Order: sequence, then C-alpha cells, then structure tokens
Amino acid sequence: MRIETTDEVIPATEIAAEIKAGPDGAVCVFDGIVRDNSRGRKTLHLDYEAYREMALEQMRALAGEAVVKFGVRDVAVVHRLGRLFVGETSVLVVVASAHRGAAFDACRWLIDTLKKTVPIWKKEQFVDGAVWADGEAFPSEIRLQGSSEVEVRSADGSGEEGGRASPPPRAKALVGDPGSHDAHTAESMYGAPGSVGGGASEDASISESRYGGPGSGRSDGSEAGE
Amino acid sequence: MRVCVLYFGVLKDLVGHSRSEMDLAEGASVAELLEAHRGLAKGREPLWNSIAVAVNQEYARSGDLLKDGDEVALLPPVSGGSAGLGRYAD
Repeated sequence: MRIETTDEVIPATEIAAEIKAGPDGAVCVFDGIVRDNSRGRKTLHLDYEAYREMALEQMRALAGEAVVKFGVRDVAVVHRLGRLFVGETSVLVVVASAHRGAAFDACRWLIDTLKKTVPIWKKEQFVDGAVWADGEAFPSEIRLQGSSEVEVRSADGSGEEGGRASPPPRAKALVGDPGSHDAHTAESMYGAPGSVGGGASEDASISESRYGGPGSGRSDGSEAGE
Repeated sequence: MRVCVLYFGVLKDLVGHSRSEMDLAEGASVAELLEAHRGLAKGREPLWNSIAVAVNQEYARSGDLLKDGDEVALLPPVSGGSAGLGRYAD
C-alpha cells in the first residue's frame, strides 16, 4: 500500500499504473484537483497543512480498513501539502480489485472518510482575501461535543491507563454503512440550530462568516491578505 | 505536569502560534485543558463545539486523562481533499 503525504507533485499516472497486478480486474482512481473558484470567488491557490504524523497514521488505518471492509486487493492514498495551484492534484486515491463494484465503493468510501477524519486543513487564497475552508463535520464519535460518553468517562475515575483505553472512536464510525453516507452534506455540520443558517445564507466553506465575526482580530487580519 | 498543545488551521491563526506548553494539575483531563482555553472559545461556540482533540496523535474523549509530556492537538473540522463541501460544486 502506498500511503503518503508529500510536498511534491503527485505522480498520479505513475501511481495508478504501478498498482496493477495480475489478479486485478479493475483500478478505480479518484484524482482530487484544485478548482478555480469557490462559489464565485476566484481561487488563486490553496495552502494545505496537516498534523503530519497523525494524518499519515489515519490514512494508513483507513487504507487497511478499506481492504478489509471491501475486500479489495490494494490501495494507494497520497495527499499533497503546501501550496497548490488550480488544476493540481491535492489528493489521489487508487483502488485495485478483482471487480469494479468493490473498487468503486472502496474508492468513494476512502475519499469521503478521509475528508472527515484525516487531520488536514486548507486555506483558500482568493484575489480579495484568504480563509480557512470550513471542514467536514467530525463524526460524532470523534467530535468532543454532543458525546454522551463525556460524563460517563470523566466519572469512572479509572486513572491514566483507563483514560485512553477505549478503542479508536473512528473505527466505530467507519464500520457499517459503506456508501450510505454522503460526505457532501453540510447542512447539519455544527448541529446547533441557527449556527449555520438556512440554505440561503450559505457560504459554507468560508470560515470568516461563522468563526470570525466583527472584531475577531487575527482572523480578520488574514482577510487582508497574507 | 506539563503538556504540549498544538493548534491547527483556523485555531492556529486565532491563538497566534502553532504550539505552546501548558502547565496543568496532575491528572487533568482533556476537558480541563479545554476549560483553560475558555477565552479562545468565547464568541466562537460553533467552531469550538465542532472541534476534536487528539492526545499523542489519537482522537481522544473529554474525560481522557492527561499525563506529563503528552502532546495534545486541538483540531478544527478537517478540510483535506480537493473541493470544499461538494454540494456547492458543479
């Protein structure tokens, strides 16, 4: 399995070619590229940053899970970091399998899950400012708020060792519903009524509209351009 | 005890640095570390309520207990991949 974060151009064609092996009947490629706009604002470039060690570990875990979950033979997941320009590949997911159904399903699941759980962020630089893209909502098992587990765990007093003994929460989130969740639904991202607003007010990938607000100093500063 | 706190994405911009050392009472929990960031959370509840925390690079829960030397990362919702939220894409 080729699982990487890189600061270099992702050799998409090469990766898709080298994964092929005799037993494969299908190779499914998702090539995520930088779009030239974000809802009407012209994108100059995107700056990706990651919690690198954790991102790599999460990507490895997802890849391994995809193999088990969908029965595919091999998986490659490569994410680029740093500054990317329009048309460049930011993320590449390749799945090799005996049959196309599993390859498609695994590929879709991998990119959708990556976008919710792998600690990578991007800042969108427009002609007239820069904003951190709003992320996908964390699955409830990962997000701290709204978890019924919170009170229970803090009350059990099990000490240091017990503190982190629970299985990785992500594992629970990922099992069970291949394909049933659509990563592209943001309506309920932050849960609280009114926190997002109705569809009419949407500018969901623009952080300033929700996190900033008047007088929030540094975030406004970034609007001036960096 | 002392832990290292890492900030990413919009949180890094808000606090003005990417890492800091923080002294906490022995046996403090993730929730107590977050409580120490009350000032950061104020007025930004939608963001604050959507974050995740990793301890030593694994997603953690509020009740998890910290120990000296832990690396605690505050993570806003992630936005890797290519496009933003796809429902706006063509």
